[in-house]
Amino acid sequence: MNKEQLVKLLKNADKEALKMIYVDYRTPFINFSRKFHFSENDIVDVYQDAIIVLQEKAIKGDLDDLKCAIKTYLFGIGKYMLFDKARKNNRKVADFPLENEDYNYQEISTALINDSINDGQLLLQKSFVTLGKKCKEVLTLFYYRGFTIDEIATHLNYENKNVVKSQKSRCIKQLKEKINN
Amino acid sequence: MEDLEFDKNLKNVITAEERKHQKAYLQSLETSLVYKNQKKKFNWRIAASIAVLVGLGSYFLLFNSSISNEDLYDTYFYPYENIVAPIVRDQVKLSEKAAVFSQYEQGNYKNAIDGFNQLSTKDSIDIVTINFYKANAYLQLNEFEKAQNLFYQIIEIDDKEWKQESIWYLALISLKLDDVVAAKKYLQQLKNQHQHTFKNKEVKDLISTLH
Repeated sequence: MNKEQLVKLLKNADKEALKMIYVDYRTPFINFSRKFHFSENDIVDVYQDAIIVLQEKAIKGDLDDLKCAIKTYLFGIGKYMLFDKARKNNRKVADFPLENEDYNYQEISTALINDSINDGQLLLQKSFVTLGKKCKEVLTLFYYRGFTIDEIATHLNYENKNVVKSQKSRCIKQLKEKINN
Repeated sequence: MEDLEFDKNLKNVITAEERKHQKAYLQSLETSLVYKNQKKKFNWRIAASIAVLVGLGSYFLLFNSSISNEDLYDTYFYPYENIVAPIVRDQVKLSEKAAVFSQYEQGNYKNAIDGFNQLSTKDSIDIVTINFYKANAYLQLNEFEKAQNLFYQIIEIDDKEWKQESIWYLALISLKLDDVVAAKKYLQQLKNQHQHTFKNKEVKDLISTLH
């Protein structure tokens, strides 16, 4: 499978493609990270986070014209996540390589590092998780996957976009009611 | 709350939820990789049956050579990953619910079943979800009848929660028990579901393999 096909599958949130990438680059990433002297548990933890960011970037379309190999991009993100982990543990990383890179991996990697929910969003989160499966699905496609109403209709086999529109409004209304109660 | 602000907050919340699910999926993948490395023989068997299915698919259709239903089960069966209470590494104190799901994730299915029996709606989880994961744990222990009974209960309820997933597992159990007629019936039922999205491709593949 070539790079473009793989990016396309990642963009479609294809679980098998994600699994394939995870399995293929797992051992190389662990070996690559050993020079930073982390435990394997820590490395695997970071690797999983880097994989999540990789998929999110694909979903946003940022990998459509990827200038390097998927592996390079993934390792770039993972490397800065490891640096961040070292910094948080007050550890110095011996050889911080300032390489000439295609992307600003440091910035990309912060997407997940600074993702905590603030107090104001806590109630919204608690309410969201109690919504029905269908509501969660529609809202997730819209807000996380960035689908248009038309795309949601096609994806979920709805008859037309008006059904999606009213479903989405009902879900938002439910959510607001839950918050206010 | 202003709509724009609400939208922004909702997007953040959903992103955080999705990341939790993805993390849980990758953690269960990691667990299964480690598990499979420990059981190379078992791994080989699955790889072999996949190779047989993929590589000789057309041969099978033409000559009706026999791939056992058990092989089909091994190929398609994968325990449903924990998306209810993702386990965060280094978390010291787990809630009751998270502790049970942690057992499930680590493959301690007997403990997980004991735990599921103790959980209730007070632990902010609904009974259908508990039963669904309990049934999956029974499947892992090859206690098919118990799993079957729980899946039956789930599909009987009018709620759509876990319905398609449960029908899928009922089809796989039927295969394992060599009841191809029942397996076909469940797969067809799944295909006919309004807005069928779960395992769409696998359902079609299995139906054509069984015909």
